[in-house]
Amino acid sequence: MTNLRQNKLKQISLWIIAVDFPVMYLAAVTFESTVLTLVALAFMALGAVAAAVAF
Amino acid sequence: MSGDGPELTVTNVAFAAIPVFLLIVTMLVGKLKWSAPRAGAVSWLAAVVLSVFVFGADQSIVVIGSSKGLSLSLFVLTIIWTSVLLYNVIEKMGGISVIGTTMTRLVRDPLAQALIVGWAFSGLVQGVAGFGLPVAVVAPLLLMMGFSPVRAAVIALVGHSWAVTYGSLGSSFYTIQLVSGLDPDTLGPHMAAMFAVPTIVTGFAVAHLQGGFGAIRKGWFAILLIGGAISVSMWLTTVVGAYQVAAVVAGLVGCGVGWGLSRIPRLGLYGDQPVDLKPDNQSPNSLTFNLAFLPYYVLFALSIASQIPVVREFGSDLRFGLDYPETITAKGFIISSVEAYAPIRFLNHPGPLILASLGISYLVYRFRGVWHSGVGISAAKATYSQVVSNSVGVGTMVMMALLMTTVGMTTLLGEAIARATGPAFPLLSPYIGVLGTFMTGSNTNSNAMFGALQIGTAQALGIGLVTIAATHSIGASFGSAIAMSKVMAGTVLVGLSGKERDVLVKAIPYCILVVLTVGIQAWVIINVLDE
Repeated sequence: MTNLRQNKLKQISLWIIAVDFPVMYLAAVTFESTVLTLVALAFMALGAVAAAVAF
Repeated sequence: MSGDGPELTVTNVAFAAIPVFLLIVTMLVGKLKWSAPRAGAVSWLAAVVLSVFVFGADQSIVVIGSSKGLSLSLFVLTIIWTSVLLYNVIEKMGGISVIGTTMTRLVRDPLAQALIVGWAFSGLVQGVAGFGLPVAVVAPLLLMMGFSPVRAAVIALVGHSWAVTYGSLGSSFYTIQLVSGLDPDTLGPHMAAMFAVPTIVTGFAVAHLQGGFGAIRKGWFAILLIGGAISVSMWLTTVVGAYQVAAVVAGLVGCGVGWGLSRIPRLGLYGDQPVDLKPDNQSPNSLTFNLAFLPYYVLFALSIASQIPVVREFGSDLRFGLDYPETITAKGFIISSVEAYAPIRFLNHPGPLILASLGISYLVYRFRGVWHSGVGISAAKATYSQVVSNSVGVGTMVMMALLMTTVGMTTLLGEAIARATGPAFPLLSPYIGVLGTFMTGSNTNSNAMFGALQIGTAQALGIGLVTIAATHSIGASFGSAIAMSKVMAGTVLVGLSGKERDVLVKAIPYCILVVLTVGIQAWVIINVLDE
């Protein structure tokens, strides 16, 4: 992977985690929605995979 | 906090250990040597799978546990982001160079240079910035003063390690306080008092690094005076609740006392040969020391003002913190509901205070005509690029730690360690802190990762929670001397790139010795003083 792509992926992983944080909270605590919670969890897993690949 | 929870069996303990084991193995063993964000991300994924398939969590509990981790991360990261920004603004204006040059001109004797710059000043830099900057600033300074590259790097690594828990404007302290759930007014002064003996031992270590046992014989009285002044000032600062500036105040007092002693003959630090500073190391801009240090002066003032009872009372409701409901796993592990978890208080939290000090300093700089256009933008850009890796690392590792806590894995590990170590646990406890810092390069990460585990173990053994929480963070603080990220920073800056092993091998014995005093102290407090 080129340095440029790796740097982009590092930032993408950070922004996925940052954006998904309020979504996770709203889904699990505010709306108590099973579907939304699963979607939010899947996005966080995506962010974690991106971090594992990029860093 | 917890109900019945998962049963204490070998299989369950083995499963509970997997995320932590994975973190350690992937970062340290063989050719893997993963970065903290990668290891944290993989460990969090493992914790998610285990939470669901072994520890009886549903998707809601997994998300709540992870979200709590991010709430705690936000609390810590706002300190990191703002303090790195503050440092970068001053650095871009040439202020760090002015501060460093002024310090070196004030000290002449080599032992005094090692103690004042390598021990007290490096603690001061840790207090205001941290995150490897003390090594980055102090190691080149010592090199400039004539120390050998390895000696300069190791003195900076060992010398700054007393200031890490209360450094970075208190981020590590706040993390252990939040993870342990202990009252900060109890934990803060207790931990500061426990820092005294090992802090003085680091002074002796720095003297030994500078000139062997001859330097210790020459400067033992001065070391005791400087170390005593550092310890008392740090303790007093925590007593008044100003945790975010405890290391800063102690570092300043240490520098002041050390400088005073260096002016008195027969105390081992007196020198009459002026330091020959190279002209190209002097700042070309017009900043004076006081102007360069202005943001920190303002920050001290705001930090003290934030502790005034009227201000504290007025600001108690001005906060951001998320409420979390009670969770119960299928295994019966219960975590109570909590209001405003890890709250960021706008009149007390270091993040807003740092931003306010930056704003006030900017106005003064503009008024005095020393502000360079473009400094703010270039400092912000530098800060963003510096904190990406750190932010993902903290976020993923703290998510893992809080998820493990939410589903009962941490409590289970604590119970297992308690059964395995018994009365010897206080001796082992600070080395767990060292392990966390060694792996992650951060006292804060170590506290987030293992703090709850230490508390769970202490609860299972029925021994002092405050002492064990303090012991962990103190061990993690001194573990900074051998944290790989800091070792690498130190070696690069003194021109020893690729020779990290030389520096590490020299630093490890001093680290082990200092941490041993922490463990013995904890054992005495718990078993003899019955705290």
